[in-house]
Amino acid sequence: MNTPTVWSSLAAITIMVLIGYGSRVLGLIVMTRLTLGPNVRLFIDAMSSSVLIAILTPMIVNGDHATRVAALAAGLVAVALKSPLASITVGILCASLWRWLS
Amino acid sequence: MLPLACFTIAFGLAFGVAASHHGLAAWQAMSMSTLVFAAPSQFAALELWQAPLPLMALAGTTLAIHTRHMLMGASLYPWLAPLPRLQRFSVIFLVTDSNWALALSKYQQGERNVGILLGGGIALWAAWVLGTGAGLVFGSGIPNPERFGLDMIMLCFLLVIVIGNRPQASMVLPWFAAGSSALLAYWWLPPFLHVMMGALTGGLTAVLLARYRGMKVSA
Repeated sequence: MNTPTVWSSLAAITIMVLIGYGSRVLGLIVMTRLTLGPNVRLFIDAMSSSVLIAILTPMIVNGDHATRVAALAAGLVAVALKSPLASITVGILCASLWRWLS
Repeated sequence: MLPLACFTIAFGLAFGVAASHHGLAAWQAMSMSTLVFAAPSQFAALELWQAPLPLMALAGTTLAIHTRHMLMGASLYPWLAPLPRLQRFSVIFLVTDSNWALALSKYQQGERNVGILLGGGIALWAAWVLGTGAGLVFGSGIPNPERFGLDMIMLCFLLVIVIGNRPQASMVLPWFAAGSSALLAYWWLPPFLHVMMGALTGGLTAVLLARYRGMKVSA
C-alpha cells in the first residue's frame, strides 16, 4: 500500500485540527450573534449524516460479500439493540466468519 | 460519565486498529486522536488515507461533518459565557458528540458547574487517546487483519454513527438520495467528489422534504 508523505499527512492532520477546533469555537463566537433559520439548521444536520452515507455506499456496493454481510448485520444490530459496541462486534464476527467459511 | 469513558476506550481501540490497518503511522493516528478528538471525521479520514492524499476531499469531508459542531458550540454558549475567554475556548475543545448531549441535558436540569463539562471532557479525551494507543499496538501485531474481519471496523463504526444516533423516519429519503447520488458520482465523476456530492444532496433533500411537508400541513 502506498503511504502518504510526511508533509502531506502533516498538512492533512492540520486541516482536520483547524476545521475540528474552528467549528467548535465558531459556534461560541459567531452563532451567538447570528441566529440560523430552521432550514439552515436542518441542512447542516442532514449534511453531517449524509456525508457518512456518501462514504459508506460505494464501500458497500464495491466491497466483497463479507463486507455486505457485515454491513447488513451491523446495521440490523444497531437498529435493534442501539448498542454501538455490539453492532461493531457483530459486524467484525460476520465478516471473519464469512471469509473463514468461503 | 464513567460508562461513556469505558465505551470511548473501546472506540479508541477500534480507531487504533483501523488506523494501523489503513496504513497510518503511529504518530499520525495519535496526533489525530490527541488534537482532532472527533471520532466521525477521524474514521472518515481513514477511507481517504492514500498516496497522494486528497487534501481537498479531506477538507470538504471534515467540513461537512463538523459544521454541526458550530450548532453544538452555540447551544452551550449560555453555560460557558460567564467564563474567562481562555477557559471558554479550552473547554469547548473537549466537547464532542458523545458528551455534548449529556452536558446539554445537565444544563437544562439546572447544573451550572462547568467542572462537569471540563472533567468529563478530559476523561473522554484521555480514554480516546489511550484507546488509540492500545489499538495501534494491538493492530500492528496482527499480520492479516482481514482474516479476522478487522477491516470492517471503519465501515461498521460509520454505520453505527449514522443509524445509532437518531434514526428518524424523515431522514430515510435524504439518506437514500445521498447514497444514490454518491454512487453515481463515484462511477462517473472525478475521484472523491462523491463524498461532497452525497453530503450536499442529502442536506438539500432534507430541506426540500421539510418544505413540502410544511406546505401540506398549512394547506
